Amino acid sequence: MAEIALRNVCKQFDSEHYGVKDFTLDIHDKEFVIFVGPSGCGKSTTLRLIAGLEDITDGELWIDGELCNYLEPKEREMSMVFQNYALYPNMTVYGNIAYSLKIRKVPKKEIDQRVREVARILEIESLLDRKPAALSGGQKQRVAIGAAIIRQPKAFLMDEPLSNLDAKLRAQMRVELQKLHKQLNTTIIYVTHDQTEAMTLGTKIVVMKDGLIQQVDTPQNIYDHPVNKFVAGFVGAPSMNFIECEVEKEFNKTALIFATTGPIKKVYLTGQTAEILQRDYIGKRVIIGIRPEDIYEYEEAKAGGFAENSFGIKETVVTREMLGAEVILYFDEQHRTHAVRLEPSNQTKVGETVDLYFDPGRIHVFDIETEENILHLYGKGY
Amino acid sequence: MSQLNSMAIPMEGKYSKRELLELKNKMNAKALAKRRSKTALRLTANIVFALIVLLPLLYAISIALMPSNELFTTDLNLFPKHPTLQNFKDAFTNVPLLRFILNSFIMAGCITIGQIISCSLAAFAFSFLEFKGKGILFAVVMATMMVPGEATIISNYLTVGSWGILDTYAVLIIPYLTSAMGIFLFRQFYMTFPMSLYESAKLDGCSNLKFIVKILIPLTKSAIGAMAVYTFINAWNMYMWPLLVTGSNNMRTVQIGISMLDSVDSQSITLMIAGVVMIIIPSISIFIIGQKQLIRGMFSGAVKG
Repeated sequence: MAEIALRNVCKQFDSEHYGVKDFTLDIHDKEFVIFVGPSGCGKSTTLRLIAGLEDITDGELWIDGELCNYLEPKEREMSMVFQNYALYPNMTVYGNIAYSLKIRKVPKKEIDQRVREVARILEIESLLDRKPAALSGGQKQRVAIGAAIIRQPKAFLMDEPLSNLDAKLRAQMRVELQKLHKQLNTTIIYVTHDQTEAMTLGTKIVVMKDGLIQQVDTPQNIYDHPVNKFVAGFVGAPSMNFIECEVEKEFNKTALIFATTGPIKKVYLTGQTAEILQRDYIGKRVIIGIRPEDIYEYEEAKAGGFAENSFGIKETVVTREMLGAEVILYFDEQHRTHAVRLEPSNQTKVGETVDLYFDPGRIHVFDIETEENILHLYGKGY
Repeated sequence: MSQLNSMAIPMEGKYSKRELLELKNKMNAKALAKRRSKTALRLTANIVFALIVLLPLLYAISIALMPSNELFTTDLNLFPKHPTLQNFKDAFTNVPLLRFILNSFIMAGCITIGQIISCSLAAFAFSFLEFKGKGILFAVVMATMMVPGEATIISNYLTVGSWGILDTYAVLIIPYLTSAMGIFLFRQFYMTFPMSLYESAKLDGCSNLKFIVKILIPLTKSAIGAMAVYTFINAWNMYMWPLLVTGSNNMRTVQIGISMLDSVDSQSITLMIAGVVMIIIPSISIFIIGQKQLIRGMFSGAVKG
């Protein structure tokens, strides 16, 4: 059971450098919260503030209704899994898992019972007598998790626990962590720089940049309604394509015209975004963002009845990646490379042009100055 | 070998299989002979250098086994003609050498244990704890290494003199209970220690002291070993300080005791050398036992792993 609340938490390293700035967040019981962001964004620092490994410069940390700013780490009843596992090399796996209970003077019989129970859950029963040096990376990670869960803490803090594992093992551990979360039924706060981990594991994602929270929401909402260009670009792989456009009014329609020389490329928008653009942005520049999977072949879209009243956008393919279930084509626009995810049946070769259709319903429009989503800026749909 | 194989392919028609095998054997034998001669050369060079380095020590042992009349001759006398243990016996009877050895052991042992405890605790603070002025404090500790011991010896003497503890074990031990070198050595070793281990222990509910005893010390055995060997030998070889602060035979250490073997009335080189040979035995044996630890510990900060 843990309700963790952070109120305007700051971590100042020196007079100029902030690790975390004005961090306000509610973490409810049994949530799987992910702190995600590029390195140096303050996500690990925030986790360490919660754990008590760093002092909070300003703001409040509440755990279960109790102000915890000045509580020692062990009094906070949290357990943490570190990136480099942090197993005691001089103890066996059994000793490592049992250590925190031993310090708390739990009776030997109970320790033994609980260690075996944890080992069973994590399938490391056969490793109990080994020393950490004799374990593989994945096994070490399991032991580290075992040492964390045996204490039945208020919350688990995990600091990039999977980043030392190879890709295959990481995918496997991801699934197991999800299972574990269901099984243990407790709060997990998880730090990662990997957006795939964030999207697949979390029930709530906190996207951070430069010590500031950018957006807090469910994975689906973060993906579908990013509040700014940073969040939009950070989540999703290949990442969202950004193109600078000029807003124009053509009869009643709102047209976004690519800010490039050469043949005119444009998309028409409808709905709330179009209304805002018509009102405040005519003649101004904006940045549009569209995910690779929201771009289709023009002919196909037309055949499906989607692309009425719109033009195809012709682009030259510079790279082609065949991934089996899909093909990713790359094209250059405004000196940046953009990606399109198409059906594997598409046979366009490098150097050839492809006629594309941008799904207007899936276009995000960002203010060029603030880089905020204009829907968010105008408080619509948020 | 792989080169030979790749060469053999275009010439396959030229040589028969048997001829090829012979060629291979021949080349193998040649390579083997070359390698062996190289090893032999290296070994010889090493032995020669070792002899040059060890010559004074070996000669001292040889002198210690000579009757005193054999030493002062005009011809080169490297080996004793009539080896005798009389010098060793005399050394024990002329001065209370056993008492001196015991004193030295007590002093060096206490200094070693004291330094290990104080230096490891200080190094723990310098590498794991965060406090204001840590960098400056560490710099000050390091700076003391630059002050030569001779510069402070008089003021130290006056201090302990005013305490009234001259000519006791305490005065031999207390001024040497910590050392900047030891703090530095331990700190360098602890720096390679992953910080997350300490943090993990803290979250587990470990106190600092418990962390040191249960986790840090078991994992830094080699640093402790190195430190112990280094400190013990240094303490064993101390001369100036014990000479200054001890006066009675009961408190003298071996290094001073040995100089007592040199009396103006009856100087005997062989007797003195016998004494010297005896007192270097402990330091050499400690070095032999601990040399692996010493080297591992000394270089522990140099490379990771």
